[in-house]
Amino acid sequence: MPAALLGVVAVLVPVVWFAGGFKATPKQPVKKAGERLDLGLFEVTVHDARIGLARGTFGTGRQRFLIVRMRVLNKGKETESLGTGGLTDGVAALTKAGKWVKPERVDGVAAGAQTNTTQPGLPVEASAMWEMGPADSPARLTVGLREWNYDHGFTDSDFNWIVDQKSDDFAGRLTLPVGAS
Amino acid sequence: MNARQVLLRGGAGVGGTVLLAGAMWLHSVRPEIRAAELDPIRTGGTIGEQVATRDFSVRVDGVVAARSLAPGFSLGRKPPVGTDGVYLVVRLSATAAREPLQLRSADLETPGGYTFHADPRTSDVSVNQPTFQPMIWTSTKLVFELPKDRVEGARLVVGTGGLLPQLSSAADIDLGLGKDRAAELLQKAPERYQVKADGS
Repeated sequence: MPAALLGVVAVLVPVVWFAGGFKATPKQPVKKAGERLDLGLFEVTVHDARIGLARGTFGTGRQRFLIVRMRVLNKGKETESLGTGGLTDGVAALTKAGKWVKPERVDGVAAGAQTNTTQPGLPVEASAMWEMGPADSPARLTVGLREWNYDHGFTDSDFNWIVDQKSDDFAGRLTLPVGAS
Repeated sequence: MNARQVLLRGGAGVGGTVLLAGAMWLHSVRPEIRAAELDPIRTGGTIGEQVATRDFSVRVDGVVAARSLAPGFSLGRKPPVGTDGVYLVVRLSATAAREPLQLRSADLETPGGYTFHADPRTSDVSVNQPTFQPMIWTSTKLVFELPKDRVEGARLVVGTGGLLPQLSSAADIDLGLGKDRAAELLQKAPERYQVKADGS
């Protein structure tokens, strides 16, 4: 019996070594701005973060927003929204309290004109926006981008692009200096 | 017990574990079926032909490609709405069969399983879709935005859609975009196409 156990160990050790060992893969790999990130459904290149004025979400004058600009390419096979149900669900910013919050809205510009959607194979310049108070002016912003998986739900057999909005696992975590403009 | 036997037994143990893990993984795998049991029932047809479904009849009158769209109300000379790909504008007429309805779902399906939803841009160039009445033919336009190399072989799928489109009607219309026709469309594509020209 101990010999058999020894045998299992003798075979397991090289197998585990081959599979990459027990060292945890980083949950939030650190990436840099300008790096192309593969999120499964989207390919995202984050440009920069800045504070800017934009039209309020409900059309109430101009408000201050924290804006992260990125280039987004839809790698899926269907038109995807930039808002809820689409890109927004996979983007999060880290607050001072350590909570990840998703953007209030994501505005898109493709070929110089506004859009709310991304078509497969056509890039969009997207601005993820978080509303800010008049006095807030963070010097750095940490943004996380989640990975999308093409899978079926737990209870249904329909395949779809799914992102876990509650998880702290990110395909990339970027800390960006916040510029004022 | 010699070393060979030890390795053999160990290998059998690991192999068994792998098989068990494989069985558990296989148990969670489901085949990907793109069609669902309660998908809208599609009626096929081609461009120029009247396609009659249970709820509505539709006829595609023409397809135009455009490099850019003219914004609706050009106060202060707004720039045209451009694209990195191409706009495909489908002109169609439709009438309801029994009761007034709207064609809520309109997609362009292209070879390779790609689906492009209608109305890709914001309000400036979006067409308000009419309500179709029984026995009255109403025409409208549907705008799609897609990469140039996806135009060939595109089909229009329109349906009544809605929140629960179970077994509702849809028309699947071949737009006749063969290789030559698609190339011709792309070549002739104008700038500043007036989507809202006929007051829709």
